[in-house]
Amino acid sequence: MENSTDGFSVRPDQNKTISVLGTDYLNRTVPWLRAIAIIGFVLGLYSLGKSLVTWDAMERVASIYPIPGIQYFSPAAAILGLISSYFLLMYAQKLGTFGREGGNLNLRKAFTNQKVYYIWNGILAILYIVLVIGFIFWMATNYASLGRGLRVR
Amino acid sequence: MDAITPIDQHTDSSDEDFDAAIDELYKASKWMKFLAILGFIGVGMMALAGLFSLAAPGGRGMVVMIFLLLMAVIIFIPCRFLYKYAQGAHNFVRTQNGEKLEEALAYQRSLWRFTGVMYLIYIVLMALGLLFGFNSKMFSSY
Repeated sequence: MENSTDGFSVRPDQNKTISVLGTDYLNRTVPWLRAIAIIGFVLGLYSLGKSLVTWDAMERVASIYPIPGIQYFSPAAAILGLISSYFLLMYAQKLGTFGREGGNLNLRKAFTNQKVYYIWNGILAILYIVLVIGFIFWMATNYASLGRGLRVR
Repeated sequence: MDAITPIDQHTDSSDEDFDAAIDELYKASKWMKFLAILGFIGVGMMALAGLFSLAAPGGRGMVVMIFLLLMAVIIFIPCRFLYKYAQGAHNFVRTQNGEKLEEALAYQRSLWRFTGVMYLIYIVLMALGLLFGFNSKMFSSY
């Protein structure tokens, strides 16, 4: 006989695990996760292809880039996005396995993949902020060195 | 008589695994909160940029403002869901109340459902844009 205690599903022959309602929420999340991960892959591949074509065109036209290394930015961003989609797909797969087979071990693996996904995106966000601040700093420094910027007395 | 090792019926459902799973969720919730707060900051900056764009000459400022405010709302919604998910996970770990976990998982479902719908709308708009762009190119050659 199932006793529902504080949202846990606890039976005399069963260990602590997520309740039926919680499992239902997770099961309903899986299709959306898979769809987003696959769309992310497709968009990521499209962005990568487009950025490589642009890079090739820039190589033919430009001898000096206005910002050093800018030609690498788009392909790198596309690859980082693809990695993010991969982690999301792994989370979706493990969550799907938990939905089908149950088991706290599958749940643990799913949440581990989720943690990896959010850590990766968190690092990307920090990297993006550092790049933006660095770019602003570089622009300010180079603008001043051209003699048209702020004059220090 | 050989000793028979009792089969552990719960090898896939041990309390240790559940506790480890919740620990992973708790660690992830810190990064979720961080990303959600960054999202809120971005939304705020977008909304401010939208308000400042009213100063632009002509009627373009109004169009840009409406667009930026609309984007701010669209980005705010999943950030809120993400923050609530993280908060729910955090509250569950603190109180060990399973209803908090259910609440958190409900927010996670809402987050990914909303994001999925936005992706689909984006793809449809992109496809329509390509289609009309292709058609206009076809007709311009006549």
